[in-house]
Amino acid sequence: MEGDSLILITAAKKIQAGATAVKVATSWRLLSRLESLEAKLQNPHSITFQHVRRTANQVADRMANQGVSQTSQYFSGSLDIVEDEQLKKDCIALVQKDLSPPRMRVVVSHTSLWLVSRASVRPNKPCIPGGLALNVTARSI
Amino acid sequence: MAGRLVLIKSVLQAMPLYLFSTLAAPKWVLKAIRDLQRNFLWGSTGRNRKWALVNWKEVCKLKTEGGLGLRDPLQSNNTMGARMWWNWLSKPHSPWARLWQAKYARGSQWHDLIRINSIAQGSPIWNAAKIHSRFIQEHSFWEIHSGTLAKLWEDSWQQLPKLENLFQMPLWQSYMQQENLIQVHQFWQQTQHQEYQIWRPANSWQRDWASETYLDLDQELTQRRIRYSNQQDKLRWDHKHKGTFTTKEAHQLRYSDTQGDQDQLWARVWLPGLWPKISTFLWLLSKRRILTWDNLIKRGFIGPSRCPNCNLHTETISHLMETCPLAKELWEKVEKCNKRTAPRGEDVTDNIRSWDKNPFKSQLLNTLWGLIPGFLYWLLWKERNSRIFNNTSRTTDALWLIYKRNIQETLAIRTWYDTDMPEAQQERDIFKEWNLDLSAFAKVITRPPRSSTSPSSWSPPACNSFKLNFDGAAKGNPGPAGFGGIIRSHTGAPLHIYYGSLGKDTNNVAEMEGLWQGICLAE
Repeated sequence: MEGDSLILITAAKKIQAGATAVKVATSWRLLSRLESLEAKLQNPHSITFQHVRRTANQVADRMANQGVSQTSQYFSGSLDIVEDEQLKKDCIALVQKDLSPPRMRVVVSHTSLWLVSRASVRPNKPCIPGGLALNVTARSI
Repeated sequence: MAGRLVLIKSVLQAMPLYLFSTLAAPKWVLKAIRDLQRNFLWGSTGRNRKWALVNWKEVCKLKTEGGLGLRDPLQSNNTMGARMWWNWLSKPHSPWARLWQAKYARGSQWHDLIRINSIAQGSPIWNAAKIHSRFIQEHSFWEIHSGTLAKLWEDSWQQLPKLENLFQMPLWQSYMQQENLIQVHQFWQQTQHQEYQIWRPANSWQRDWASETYLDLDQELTQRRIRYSNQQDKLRWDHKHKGTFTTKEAHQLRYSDTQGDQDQLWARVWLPGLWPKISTFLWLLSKRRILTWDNLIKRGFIGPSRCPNCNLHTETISHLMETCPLAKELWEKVEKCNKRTAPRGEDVTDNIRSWDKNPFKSQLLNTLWGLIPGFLYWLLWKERNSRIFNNTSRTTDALWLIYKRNIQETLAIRTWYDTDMPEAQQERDIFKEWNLDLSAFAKVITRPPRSSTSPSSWSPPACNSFKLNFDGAAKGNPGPAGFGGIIRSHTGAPLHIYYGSLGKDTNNVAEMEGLWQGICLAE
């Protein structure tokens, strides 16, 4: 997980829950922007803040890198009118990738086999007493 | 004493704060409050007087500077007065602030109040606050937005020193005033339209000097990283953190002794996880003020001077804690258990100061190592008192068992009974020596649940909703920064994209800008 985004999203969630910007800001430079956000969140919008991993935020990540590489430009508009061909191509590819079903690859991080003596050994995964249980901890990437 | 310290902080120090926030209390009142706090700290009552072992000034220092972190009533009163003045400057629309402005600063705009020098006499509340105007003036600055309120030369802005202090140049200042370059936005407008001209004196040496100075000034102004907007300039508190006034920061700024590096000794004394009563005892021990017989004799006490633990030598702090046979035996057990030599000079304070920090790879063993001297000194002191006052004594083995049990329990609480066996063989042996089976203590407390993980793949929002993905990036902190984002519908179709550069800025500001621009566009 990215640390910087998590700090900001946590602050935004706290402001949404009623905390003041002064309480959650970590620096005076961030404070003025959080104060603006605080004023904006008082309008009757329905905004849900959620932190995502970098893999779920690839388009925005590409955009931010584009922002860093630019010197004094600001662009805002639809994808069709982007002049930078490479950026346009990258964005379309990443948007398509987001829409495609996730490719599952399971990484087995822990495997063990044991004889189940009692049914209550693993209450969240019921198994038959006297049988064999395979414990696999896996994660998808 | 640790309990009394907490009570003083939460009750005796807190009670007069309401009075202090509005009035400058008379000196005799402040002295009476200080006496109450001091007597309570050292356990003195009307009939039963106790020695104040440490000077009150030392007690009122920060914990990192060798004190107990208490605040003297006079200092508290001053800090609260400064707070009052800050509130007047930063909340100009509140009724009382408008009353003050009408009464004491007639004809001045609120943004001029920070520069007020001649201040009229007035009500007691006003008098209590006004004496802190200079302190506030010196430690505040303008955050520039439109640049219409901050003065170019006279004010501090963007958390940097005033230009008039940086560039001691009356000629430049008069030139600026002549060209109507008084406020920040005027300077900005002229430089933007390239109308700004360097003052060019006739003589060549003056010309060289002026162009060099201009380069310095230009560099200085570039460093201040201004991003102009239509908002009004904001007054900020110039200290470490958030830009808002806090009494804690103001107190530290005014009264802490920030000369030189902080002594590592106090970090060892106020170690997190150490029991408060042990930390307080270590504090007294580090100041060499515990009442061993040698200290008692200095205070005029006449009596036996033998060490009660060995009954052989004169009792001094270094003997009791380091060279007494009982202490030696326990220290040897500690060294054997940890397979590591502990700092063992004769001076206890030096030993605590030079205690190794994090010598192991295992975090648990490092925590254990940090707890060792505090618990051992405290145990030796308890045993000494028990032998003198209760006439009971325990063997070295019994003391060692108590010592191990105390450390095990403390570690169990620190780690939520969740310990991993270290990887290195030597550390595994130490782990076994200490018998750190902390699950034996897991009876009542359970570890708090871990926070849920963030999704790792993009998912569309609910029907008739939009999803904004934003990000900020900075190469360095601060460094070249940018932000970007995309707004998509519930079908996943991209509706709007944006990106921009921020110049040199921090990662957090870049993230915030990404969010802010995204929300503005989503609206």
